[in-house]
Amino acid sequence: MSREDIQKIKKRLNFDKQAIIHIYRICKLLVTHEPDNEIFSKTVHNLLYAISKILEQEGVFSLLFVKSDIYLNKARIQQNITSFSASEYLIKLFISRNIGGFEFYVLPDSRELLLFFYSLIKYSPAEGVDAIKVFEDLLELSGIRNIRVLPTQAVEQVIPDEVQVLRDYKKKTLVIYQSTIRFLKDALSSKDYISGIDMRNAKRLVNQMVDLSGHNVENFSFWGLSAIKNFDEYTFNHSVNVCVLAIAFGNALGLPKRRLAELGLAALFHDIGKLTIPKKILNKPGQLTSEEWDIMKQHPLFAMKLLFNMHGYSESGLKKVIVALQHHMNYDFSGYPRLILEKKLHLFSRIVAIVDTFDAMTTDRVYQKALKPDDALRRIISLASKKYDPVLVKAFVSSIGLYPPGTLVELSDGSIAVVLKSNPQYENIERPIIKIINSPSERLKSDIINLAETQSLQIRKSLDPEEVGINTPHYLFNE
Amino acid sequence: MYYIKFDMGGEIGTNATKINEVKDIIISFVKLKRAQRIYLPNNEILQKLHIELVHKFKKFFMEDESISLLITPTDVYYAKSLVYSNPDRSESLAFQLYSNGINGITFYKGVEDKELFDLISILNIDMLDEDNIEDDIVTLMWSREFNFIEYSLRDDYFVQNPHANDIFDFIQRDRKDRQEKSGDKDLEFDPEELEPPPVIPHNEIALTDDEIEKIRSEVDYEDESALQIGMLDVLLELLFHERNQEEISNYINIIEKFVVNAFVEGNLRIFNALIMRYSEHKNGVFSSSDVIVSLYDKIISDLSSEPRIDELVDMLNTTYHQGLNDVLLYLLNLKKDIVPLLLRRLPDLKHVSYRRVFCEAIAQNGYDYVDLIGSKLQNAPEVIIKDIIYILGKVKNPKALEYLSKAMRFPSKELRLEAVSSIGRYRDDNSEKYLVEALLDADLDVRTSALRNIVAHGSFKTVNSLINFIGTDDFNRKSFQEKRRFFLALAKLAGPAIVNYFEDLLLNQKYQSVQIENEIKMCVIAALEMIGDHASLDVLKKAKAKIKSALSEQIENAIRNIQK
Repeated sequence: MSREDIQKIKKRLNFDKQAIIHIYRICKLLVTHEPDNEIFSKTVHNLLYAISKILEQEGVFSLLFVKSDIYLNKARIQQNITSFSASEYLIKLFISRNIGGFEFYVLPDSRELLLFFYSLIKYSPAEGVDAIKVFEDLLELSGIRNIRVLPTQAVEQVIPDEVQVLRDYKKKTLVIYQSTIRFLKDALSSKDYISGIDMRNAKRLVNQMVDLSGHNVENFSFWGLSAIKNFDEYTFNHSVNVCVLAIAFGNALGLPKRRLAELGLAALFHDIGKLTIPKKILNKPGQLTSEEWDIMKQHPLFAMKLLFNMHGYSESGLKKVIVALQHHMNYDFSGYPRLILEKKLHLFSRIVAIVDTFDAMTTDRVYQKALKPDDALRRIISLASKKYDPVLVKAFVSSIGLYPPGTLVELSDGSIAVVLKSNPQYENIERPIIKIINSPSERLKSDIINLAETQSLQIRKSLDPEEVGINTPHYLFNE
Repeated sequence: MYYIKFDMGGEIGTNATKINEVKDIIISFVKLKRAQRIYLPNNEILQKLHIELVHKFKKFFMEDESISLLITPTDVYYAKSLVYSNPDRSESLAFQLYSNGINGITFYKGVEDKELFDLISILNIDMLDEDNIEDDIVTLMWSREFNFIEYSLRDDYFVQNPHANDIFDFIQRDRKDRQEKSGDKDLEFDPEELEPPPVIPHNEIALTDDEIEKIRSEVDYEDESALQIGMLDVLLELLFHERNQEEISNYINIIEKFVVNAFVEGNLRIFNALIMRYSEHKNGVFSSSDVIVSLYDKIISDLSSEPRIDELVDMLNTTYHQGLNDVLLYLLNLKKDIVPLLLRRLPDLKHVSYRRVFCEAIAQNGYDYVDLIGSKLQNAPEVIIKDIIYILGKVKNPKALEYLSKAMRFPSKELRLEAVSSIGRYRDDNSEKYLVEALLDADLDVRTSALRNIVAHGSFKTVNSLINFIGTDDFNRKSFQEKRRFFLALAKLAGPAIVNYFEDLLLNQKYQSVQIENEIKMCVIAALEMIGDHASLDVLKKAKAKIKSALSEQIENAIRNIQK
């Protein structure tokens, strides 16, 4: 079976993350409990179920821990907020034991699994000792015949060459991104925009974005698409960016495909109510008068009425309506429209509220200059609990990184770089993968560097791309 | 869906047999697609075609791992060979797929029967019905998440001339403009001037385990009714605050559609939740709003109308997933005067369980409609008459007993049994009278049921009627088992008060024949044993001294059991 086949099957099954979370729970419990404790029975059962599903399809269950990633049957497992701490723990555990991973071809029984993880937790080989040999002996002594430990040096060989994948991926994301902008522009520019919106096509575009957001490619992040800004076509550009950010964020949270599609669609149309606001108010350079502000505050209500007429009564349609209506209702209910029945805002509305603000803050408008992405994040963090769900704000920052993809940064050696992708580990939240675009050191020019692995370099501060005359998306999407 | 340029599939030089096999598969596929439009799912021809297609796929996959087809506007290719062609666009499978943006489709070994059937079902959906079909073919396929069917999409579906580079052009142009503005100055660095960014405290960005669990629970569990109820709350509040007449009409229209939509979509659980919430609000926080109160009544009236009841019946006849409690709660939420409509449509319901739910709803609202309900005992199929008898038993109007006593005369034993049960639900003199009459029924089961119901009533008044029955020719003709049941029922009903009567039967009574005497005395002994008090014991002891026959052993056993 080819690697592609395996990836396809695994994509279908989605048991990979479940397996990781169960292994993590077992290992954590084994620190304080003996393996024969009843406490393990349910988790082990769930783990065996997930493993059996993968074994059933692929005939092998092989987990490899490489740098900051986990590979299941040679395909990298995509992490999200809910599985990340588990992965991080396991990577550290295996690295500390000098073991690359483990594999089996026959479903082990619960005793074998528990004893194997117990050995890992309890035994740390001394330096210079052949860890694989030690563990093999341990497994044999424990009567574990179905699990094989894998050495670290074999691990490096499994990382596939992803250059072509990256190229295809970038191209595809741009095509979909641009198609979505064109679609919105065509649909919303027509006088009769209510009937002009072909919701079927909108769904197709969003579905494709959802599929793209699920790919994990080297040195590029789906988040990066939102770094594309277009001053002249702000309305469409902003809507698509909010859609991209919402899908990327939802994906990081671990939302399933169908719900990601609903979230993306809701995000795409969250501002549709602004079509009814006069342009002179929307694009007014100065502060709005109170009358103008009253009109502006009507846009969620306009959107709600418009969207109800566009398949708004169905379950997925209703999510579009609720997001359009609630995306300016603050977490503490201080936003608009103001309601007396204070109810928890829908998850999608809380997500869109954050990404909407992030994109708006990082885009030049007639009435404001764009903030640098990291400054925008700081602003959002400062408003957590008031305007935004504080847990989601943390999750957002953890997912996008303190220096989001597309941020222009200055490094400690004076180099200028663009952030390509954030590193998921918390301790590396300020140390993303970057592309050097200008450096005092010739050696570093055009290099892609993972700052998590290059401790000698660090980000000193972010830069305003306009001030230094650099268009960051160019570096994100060009080879 | 995948993004790598679609491969035309198959190896170059794939042999003619394989190509013919693929042609054959596509012919079967198209035949099945056509048949699915014409026939009901359980139709034999359709099933045969389905089996045939699955068989052909299986045969092909004995040697190959997949079938990759290239789709053009009129043709389908496998391994660069034409395997399907149809210039008639209205019928062409190729055109249907291509016009929806699909330029390749691959079936993998392991493709499931259901996947094939579902794919064909998707292709048969009337996509012209834009008002009702929210998704296109590709979205439907995407949502279905086929395990062993993949498709590739044309890049140019949305963009006539695919210009991914437009973005690059824009970026380059924009960059140039900016550089011109800024004079394309060289970048200058002075690391000494750099200031480190403000540090964000750890607790402001690091997620705790509890927070991760909180996210996980929201991600894993989606409460659909919470979304709907939340929306209703907002809509009602907006309507409550609105003063503009035009906007009020707008909101009324939206709320009405919104609530009724839950019914139209066939989600009665959600409808019930919504209507319960609405009711809470109209009697609570929004009770001062005449608009909100009258809108509620309007919605209920609409759903209680004949066309809506007809829609409900059609829905229940075509879907199987409605919970019985949901259907009942839905019906009870409607106006009370729907009883005649429900009665009229009762015979049209195909599923017994849904019919019973209708019966419950009719019964709960049917007190004032007892005559109408009773009138339905005539000229209806037996199953419906049985339902009507059931309703009469639960309608709680004593007048129903008149109809039920008539029902006791139906020739069908099943109907008489149902009638006895229904009569048994009433606790008055009339019902007991009818139950005692039922003891004369020609059928043992009906008589036994009547007896059980009499006992269940526990009414002492019935005892005399039962005692009078003993000794009649009708009684004597009953089997021993039935007589025994009768005596045990009497013992249960009357308890110690009947011991004297039993003593008389056991020690003094004259009988027509020895057989009847023995049978009745055996029944009395069993009944006394059941009562089991001192008086019963004394009677049995007297009997032991007096009766020297085959009954002695039974008497001794009874005494022993009581003493234990």
